[in-house]
Amino acid sequence: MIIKQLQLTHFGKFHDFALDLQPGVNIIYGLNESGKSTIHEFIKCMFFGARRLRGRAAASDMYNRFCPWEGGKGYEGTLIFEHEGKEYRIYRNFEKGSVHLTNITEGQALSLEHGVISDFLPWFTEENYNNTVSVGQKISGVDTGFALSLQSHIANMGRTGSENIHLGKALEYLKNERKKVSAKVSVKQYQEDQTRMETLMEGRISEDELILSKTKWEQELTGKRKSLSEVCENKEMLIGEEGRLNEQVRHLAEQIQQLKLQMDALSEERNNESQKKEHEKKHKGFSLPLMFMIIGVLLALAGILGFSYLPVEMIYGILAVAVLGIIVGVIMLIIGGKTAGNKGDRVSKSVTEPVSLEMLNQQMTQALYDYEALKNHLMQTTAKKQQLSQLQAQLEKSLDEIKKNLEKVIWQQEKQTEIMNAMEVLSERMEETKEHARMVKEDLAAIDFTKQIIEQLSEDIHRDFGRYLNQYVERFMGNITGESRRFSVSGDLKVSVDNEKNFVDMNRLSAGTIDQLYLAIRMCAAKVLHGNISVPLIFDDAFTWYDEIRLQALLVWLKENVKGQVILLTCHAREATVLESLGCAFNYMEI
Amino acid sequence: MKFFHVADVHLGAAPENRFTWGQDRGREIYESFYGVLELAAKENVNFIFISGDLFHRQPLKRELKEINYHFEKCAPTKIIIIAGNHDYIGKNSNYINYPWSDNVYFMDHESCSRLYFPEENVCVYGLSYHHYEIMEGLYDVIGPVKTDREGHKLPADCKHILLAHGGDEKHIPIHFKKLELAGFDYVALGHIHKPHKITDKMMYSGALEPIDKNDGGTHGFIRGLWDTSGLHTDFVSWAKRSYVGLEVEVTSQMSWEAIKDQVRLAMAGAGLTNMFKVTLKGKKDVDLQYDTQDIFSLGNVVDVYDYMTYEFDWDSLYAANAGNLLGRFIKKVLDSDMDEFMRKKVLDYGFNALYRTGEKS
Repeated sequence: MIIKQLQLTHFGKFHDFALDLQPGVNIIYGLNESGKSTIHEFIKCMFFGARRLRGRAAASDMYNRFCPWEGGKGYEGTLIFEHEGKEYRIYRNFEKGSVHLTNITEGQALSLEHGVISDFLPWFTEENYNNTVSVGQKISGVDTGFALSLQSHIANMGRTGSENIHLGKALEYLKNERKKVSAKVSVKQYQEDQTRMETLMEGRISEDELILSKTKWEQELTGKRKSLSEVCENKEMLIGEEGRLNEQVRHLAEQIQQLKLQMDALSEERNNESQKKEHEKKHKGFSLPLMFMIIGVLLALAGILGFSYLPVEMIYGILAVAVLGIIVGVIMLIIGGKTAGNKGDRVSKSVTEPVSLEMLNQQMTQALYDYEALKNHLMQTTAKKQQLSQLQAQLEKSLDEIKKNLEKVIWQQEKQTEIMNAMEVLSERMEETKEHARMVKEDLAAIDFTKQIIEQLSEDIHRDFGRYLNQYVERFMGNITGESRRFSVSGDLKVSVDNEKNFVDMNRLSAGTIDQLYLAIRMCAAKVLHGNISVPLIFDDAFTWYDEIRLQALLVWLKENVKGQVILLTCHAREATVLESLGCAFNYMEI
Repeated sequence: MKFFHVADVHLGAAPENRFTWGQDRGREIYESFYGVLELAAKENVNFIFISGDLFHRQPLKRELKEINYHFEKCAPTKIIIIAGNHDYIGKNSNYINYPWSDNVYFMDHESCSRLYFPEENVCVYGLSYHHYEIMEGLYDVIGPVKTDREGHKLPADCKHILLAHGGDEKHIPIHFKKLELAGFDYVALGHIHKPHKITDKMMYSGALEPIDKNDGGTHGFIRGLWDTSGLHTDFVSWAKRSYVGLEVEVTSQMSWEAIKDQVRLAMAGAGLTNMFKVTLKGKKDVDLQYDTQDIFSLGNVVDVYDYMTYEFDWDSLYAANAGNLLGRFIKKVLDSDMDEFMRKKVLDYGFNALYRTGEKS
């Protein structure tokens, strides 16, 4: 490939600036800040685009670095290159982010799928460009990842297939897979479950304790219930007793009332009788039957007395009259008694059973005494009943309390069951997560093992390739420095040098030598990567650290070994001088 | 005499609740069981025998209340229950002294007890778990008793029925030959979730509903009938959903979309309400890009097994790539000392890592 023309329509400080380049060596000379690095970056941007970043990073991205001060309008450029006998043009509008590749020779538009030149020339990747084509001002080292690319390339060289395997990308892929697989296990979920489990454990009450307190409350409940029913029974009895007593009191009161009536009646009767007696005293004084009986008795006595004096007939006559008198009196008494009995039934028995006021008085006293006693008994019973009522209320209250406590224990028990069940669910889920984690672990182990094997593979390749690389570097350095030293290049393209005793890190060497070693690796890589394809080499003030002798040696080496285009961007005149002295043709431009 | 033999209902289990479609599965199991009770009432069934694990865990009071309400509704059907290993009667169990409805008989003794029902002339035997595990063969030493509690002889045609839960070494190992010789007229077994007959008189009804993804096949209960010609039993397929294993044969011509369609089709064929364990097998294309996670979103999928293999075998792939990185990788893996499961995984990861990231040239 030969870069033929650069047209910087608006790019950085350049406006409508064009540069024609030739095959072979081109020297672009310019003082500091004349824009050499801008041209260098322009070439890269033309091939791979100007990366545009967002946010804070935008301040330093490629796009903004070279955006014209006047704004994005016309922020574009063209690069014409020749490849395998055909001419191509890349046109880019950085503002719009558009790119067009045209085969000028055949007048054919070509598409760039990702907007980079490697879409058209697969070997011309940005990585290869950075590590072989373009040699910057200070950093001549290669990217770490490039080592793997180079190894992959070397390993792929012997292949017949159509795929190019890339070790770096393979490792990257595995890294991503690892991330994906790890994400399958929710560590967070497990930890949350664990925390919840701990919380649940804390809320647990011992089963025995619960049963103990439940039994305690149940026993108390039964006890209290029993005493309550006893109290209620006693109370019922008292209520019955009270009723009976009340009845008795009522009855007694009635009796007293009646006694009183009787007594009143009797005293009234007595009054009447005494009046009657007085009346009888005034009139006859004796009752008729009595009179008959008395006469009878008297006659009988007279008869008995007169037995000896009176004639027998007379005596018999007297006795007969006496007996008659007595009989009549008795009959009259009986009749009179019967009449009086009937009369007494209606008024009072005192008539048939004549009672004395004294007797009644006595009865009254007894009744009143009994009444008092009964009343007393009743009062005591009522008081007892009230006591029992109070006791009942107390018992009912404590019963309520016990019931509440029992309910609480039952509620606790239910909660405990819930907690136990929740714990079971949790532990099941945690087991599942663990099982899942075990499977994931297996996958992770497989990924790690794969990675290990691929890394081993990389080492193996390097072992094969390392000798070639070492020889190349030793030859190159021999050419430049004129000394023969032994170098060793590691798998990740780090160089160490043999100081006759052992290999030491190349950083012990001078800055110039380090630069030269890196260049050696780049040149070797370019040779390996691009083989027979000629690719331009761009040196952007890359020889600052070189002394005159080594610079000359390098330029001689370039002239002899590099067939393709070389672009030297420099702020020194010495490259041109050396080339002139060597009799080398070159294209010289000043900016 | 008609009876239903139900076991391992596992009320309170909530399988597949990690999936959106499985959120209501727990409730579904309850409903399924209530359906059995309703059917029993409708068919005038005399007994429902529940041979353990009615509940998945220790039942809560309110859960017992709910279930008791449904039991009460299905009176006069008598419900005989024993506790299994999952709902064993612990010291704190709510089963203890629970005031069941009059038609419910909970045989809560730790040792075998029996209930005689003169009306049906049936004698039921059973015991309840009081621990999660019971290692003794408690059923090996029992048999029908021909007299009642007072020593009176039971009628000659009395049916002796045993409810038994267990059958593995940690949950009352059962010597089936012995149990058969014991002379029960029917043994209603529970604990094993897969329904199966030991003899014509002794069978596992299996779980009413499948409780986890290992409970494949049909699920339901046993319907029994005793008439003059003897005992007739049949299995009633009752579960609302089943776990169905689907094997989808893949060819290397199929895209991932086509494979997903194939799975969809297979699921529709088996009934979309079912729950699926999908196995992908056959040959897959080298360039097939896929994520088995996609299959889960196609329906009630509980598991996906990827047994698809590449069209090539590793030996021939090695032969074709002997000189290059892939070949060297394969050789290294084939030469390494690891188990075959791991080797397959490593080869897959390595192949994908090296092949998928390669640049076409």
